[in-house]
Amino acid sequence: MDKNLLQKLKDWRMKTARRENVELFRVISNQALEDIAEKKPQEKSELLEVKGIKEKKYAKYGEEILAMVRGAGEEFFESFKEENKVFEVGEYLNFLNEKLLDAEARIKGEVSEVKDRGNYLFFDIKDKEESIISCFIWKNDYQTSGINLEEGMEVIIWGYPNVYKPRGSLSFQTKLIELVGEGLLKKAYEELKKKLENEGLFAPERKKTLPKYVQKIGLITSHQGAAIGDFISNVGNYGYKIKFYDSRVEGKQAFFDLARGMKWFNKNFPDLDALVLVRGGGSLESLQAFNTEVLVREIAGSKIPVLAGIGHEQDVTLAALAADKMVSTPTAAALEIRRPWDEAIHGLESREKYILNTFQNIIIENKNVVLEAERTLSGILADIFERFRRARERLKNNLVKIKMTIDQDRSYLSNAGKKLSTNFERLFSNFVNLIKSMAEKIALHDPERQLKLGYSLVSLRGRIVRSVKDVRVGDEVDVKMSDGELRSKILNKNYAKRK
Amino acid sequence: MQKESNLTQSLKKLEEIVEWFESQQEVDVEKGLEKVKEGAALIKASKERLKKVENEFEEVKKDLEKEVE
Repeated sequence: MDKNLLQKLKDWRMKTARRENVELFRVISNQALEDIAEKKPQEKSELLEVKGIKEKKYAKYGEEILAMVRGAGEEFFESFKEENKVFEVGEYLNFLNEKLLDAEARIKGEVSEVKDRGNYLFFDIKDKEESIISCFIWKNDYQTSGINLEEGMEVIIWGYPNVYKPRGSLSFQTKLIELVGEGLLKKAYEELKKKLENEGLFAPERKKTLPKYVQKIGLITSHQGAAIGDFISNVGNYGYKIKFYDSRVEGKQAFFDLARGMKWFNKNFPDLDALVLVRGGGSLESLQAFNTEVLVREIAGSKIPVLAGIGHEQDVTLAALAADKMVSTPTAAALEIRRPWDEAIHGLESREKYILNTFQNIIIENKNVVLEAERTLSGILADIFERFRRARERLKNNLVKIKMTIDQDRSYLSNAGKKLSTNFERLFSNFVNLIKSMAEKIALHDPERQLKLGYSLVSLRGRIVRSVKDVRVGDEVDVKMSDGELRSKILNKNYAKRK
Repeated sequence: MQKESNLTQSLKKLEEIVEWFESQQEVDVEKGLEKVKEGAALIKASKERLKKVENEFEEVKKDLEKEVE
């Protein structure tokens, strides 16, 4: 691909788009430009093979494009300057119209002869000296201007002159019509406001809600104004992804840029969280571009929620009224986006504290219950231990006593053993002696022995008679002798005298 | 969008946890601990998201737009 040619084609397209006041792609698409740079068509038929270029486009731009492809871009125009150059009619008008672009101007005049032809309008403007300029305006641009042309109205038109080739007549290619004077502006403002209001374009119920945490932002404002700085420096650093669309916010170009920006974002970045339209304050006149029907309809029809931060000295702009959310300055718009983020941080911190404190309290409460239980338990345990200790103490004491007793008993026993044997010996010998003496006594007192000594035993009916009283006279008693028995009869009783 | 909705979700869940704590007459420590753990994770994630992050600023190139048929 010829990069140089592509760049040349792009430059040409930029210039053409500006001249015609249309978006770049309306002149010719990127793809078509690349195709041309690739294939380098030399003839009309070849150029028509490029997708997106048909007869209509060819009629408009074909010759210029082919000239650029031939590598004679500048030279093509330069060649017209040759002194002896003889032009064809159409060729000359192309040259002239190119030159007339430099005669771009803003012209003030009174409107007369308005002819609406559907897609475009013809009208004249004149001054008090009856000088007249015939004007042409595309319907799109007329709508962008946002006014209703009426004869006698004082306006400023912006555009450039152009010779209409089929007729050879000059007409002023009007890009924009502005009203002149606060009075007219105010009247137009009020009328449009009423009309759009009746249509419900400002109604609260059709407003979209901005996401709570706006992150992807489409910013529409001017690169030069204070608004962009105010917005950027106040919006905070929350990792926003800001797509900035440089748009004029005052003057003729603003009428086109603003609506185009709205449209551009909706088409190319429909997933943005918000479109932010900001501009510093100004008079009704300087804010005209924010009071057009076209812009209001773009805002009202935007799929992306629109936040407007447009300053105003008197009336709120219609653009702001149509926005989903409106604040009065670029700074306020920035804060509108920033606030939820800041609040989220604070909310987060307070929630964190709340949860932790609450839980800590719960823990402390539970800890107290546990401690209480522990105290009770340990009290009980201590009691048990104390009792156990005392029991052990007693047991120990008792054991000592038992030991002592055992020890005592043991020594007693061992002593006793010794004593016992000594005693026993003594007892035994005593016993032997006793038995001996008893034997002697027994022997001494043996009745048999007594009988042998001459004593006898008297018994009455089996009973020993020990006293005289035991018997009566006449009783028969048995007398036992050592060698037999006698039966005797008591004949007489004599009591012995007591001593 | 993903991140953002995460933040919204996280904050919502956090709010629910706060409400849970508020609604409990007597908090079960086990459950409370679970909630605290969940809350801590949410807070961590949210803080991560809310950390100061440099913004991306880009002026759009108007000629790079999508073509209109």
